Amino acid sequence: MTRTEERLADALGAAARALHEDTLRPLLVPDRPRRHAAWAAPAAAAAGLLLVVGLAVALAGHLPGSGSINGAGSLPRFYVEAGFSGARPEVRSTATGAVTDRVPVPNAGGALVPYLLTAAGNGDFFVAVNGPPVTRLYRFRLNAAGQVRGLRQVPGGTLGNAQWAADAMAASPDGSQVAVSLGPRAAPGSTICSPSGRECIGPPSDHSDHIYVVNTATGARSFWHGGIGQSSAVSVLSLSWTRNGTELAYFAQWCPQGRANTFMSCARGTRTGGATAEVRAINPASGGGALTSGRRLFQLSATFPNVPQAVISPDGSTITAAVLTGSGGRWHTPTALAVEQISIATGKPLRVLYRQHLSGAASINSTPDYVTLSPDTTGKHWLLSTMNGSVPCGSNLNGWIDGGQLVPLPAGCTVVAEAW
Amino acid sequence: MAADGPDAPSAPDGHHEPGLQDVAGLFRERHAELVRLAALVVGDRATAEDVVQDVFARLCARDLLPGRDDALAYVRAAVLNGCRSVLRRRALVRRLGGARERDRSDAAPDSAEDEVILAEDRRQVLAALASLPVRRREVLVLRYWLGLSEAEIASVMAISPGTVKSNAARGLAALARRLGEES
Repeated sequence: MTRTEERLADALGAAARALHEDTLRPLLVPDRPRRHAAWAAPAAAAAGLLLVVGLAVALAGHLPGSGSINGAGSLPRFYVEAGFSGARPEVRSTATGAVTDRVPVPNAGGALVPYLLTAAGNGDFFVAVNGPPVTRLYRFRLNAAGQVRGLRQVPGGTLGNAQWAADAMAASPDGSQVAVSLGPRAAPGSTICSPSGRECIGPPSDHSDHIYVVNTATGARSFWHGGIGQSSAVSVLSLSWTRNGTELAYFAQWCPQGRANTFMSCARGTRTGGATAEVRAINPASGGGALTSGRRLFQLSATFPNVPQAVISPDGSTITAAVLTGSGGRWHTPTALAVEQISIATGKPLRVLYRQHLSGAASINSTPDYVTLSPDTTGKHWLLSTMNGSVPCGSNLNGWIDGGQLVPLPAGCTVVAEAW
Repeated sequence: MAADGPDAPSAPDGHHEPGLQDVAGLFRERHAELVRLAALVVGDRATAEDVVQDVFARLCARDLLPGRDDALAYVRAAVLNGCRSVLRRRALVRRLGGARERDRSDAAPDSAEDEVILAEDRRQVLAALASLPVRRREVLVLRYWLGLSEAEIASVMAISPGTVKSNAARGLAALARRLGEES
């Protein structure tokens, strides 16, 4: 054994011995699942058949004709998604979930959030490839078979560096502008690694996110930054545009410096200690400035205390938000997730698009750490995906909302970016 | 999710595997070992206990346990998968800054006793270990704490023996660099 091996074995042994067996928390035996009744199998088969028939009927009613692609006003025929694993983004059929193509962008190299995706109303898709050592934006279109065509780099779309990467993105409806927020690849005061272990870096000195708006024709960029005060850090959670492209909305939380790293709740579930979360709208034509110069459209309140995601509707009249409510379990975690439309004018809920009861941790549909809400270009159809890293692959939600139900879509594991 | 390793690894003390017939028996036998394994990978005891509890609950609920030869390797793999999920979630949560739980890896040591037991030198080694990528960390813990062979580690982690070897070598080299030693 080398000296390093000896020291390692000694340290591991000592650390293990320090954990005394008689002080361990006893294991709890879970309730056994109920056995199915004798009639359950045929009933389930019948229900499954009804579900398949119902889904086929529903899709037939929604799907456009054979020549129609995304952006025609009805349910998009294809969607693009990227997972946490770093595999290249996939194009999938909305009807069948089958992969029709993969977006041949460069490998993200094990970045924490490898790819971001957004769709413009003119049929263009954009993908941000995070890494290394910079973030690059690409655009492409889909043909009638869901295959990627015309992939090319966006002028002015090389952003960030080894310390900064894109964490939210949205294209204007006409595809002439793409808004990208850049955040630190590592949290302050820590060194973190990507899941693959290929990227481990230290913290940047300042960890407030910035927003760039890139003119996709000329490459010209404008820039927004700045927290509420010098002691606050802003973290952008989503970007969205109104249909006419005159307003860019961002949903962000402001956290006291350092708190986001040591006590993770920050703005969610509380508004104390200077933490807050808001949706604000900025005018992209103004050429840049302070993030706080934007018009406030929504903020956390007693009605909406815990909102992991919120975007503006294309008509600019409502905020569509993922809202967590209830409290239960050991960690007093939320017990329900709802997708609600909220009036910007009154701040009151208008309607619930979808509601899902959440089970406990390590169970299906447990409380998400990360939620994506992706409207199509009409704002009528929403993709919803949730991610909780502590539950098995396949236990998170991923689908599109239809009449209060979530029509499930296949997911490789955990989805971190979707667009259609 | 978990490895279906063909060969059951040896126990840390080198004895043959006991006749573990069910989930409860296995966990009764190996609870402390599994928590220690998870603690060495995730860096704190409370999370380690949660990870092992979750694996136990899932296996109980689904009657998931292979035959006796593979049972321990399967459960170790499940615990390591749980550790990876925790570490992955921590990384993303830190990045996004929007979760609800306190990250217990940043918490103070579990007790004053731990402070005394873990001398500064060992702390340095463990800190250097914690800075390694997860896969290398797992390989080193399985090799230098559990004493598993390359083949056994490959079975638990569902990777090739060559990958085990390269991860161990790179992990040790990185540790040596960080500890200021010749590798």
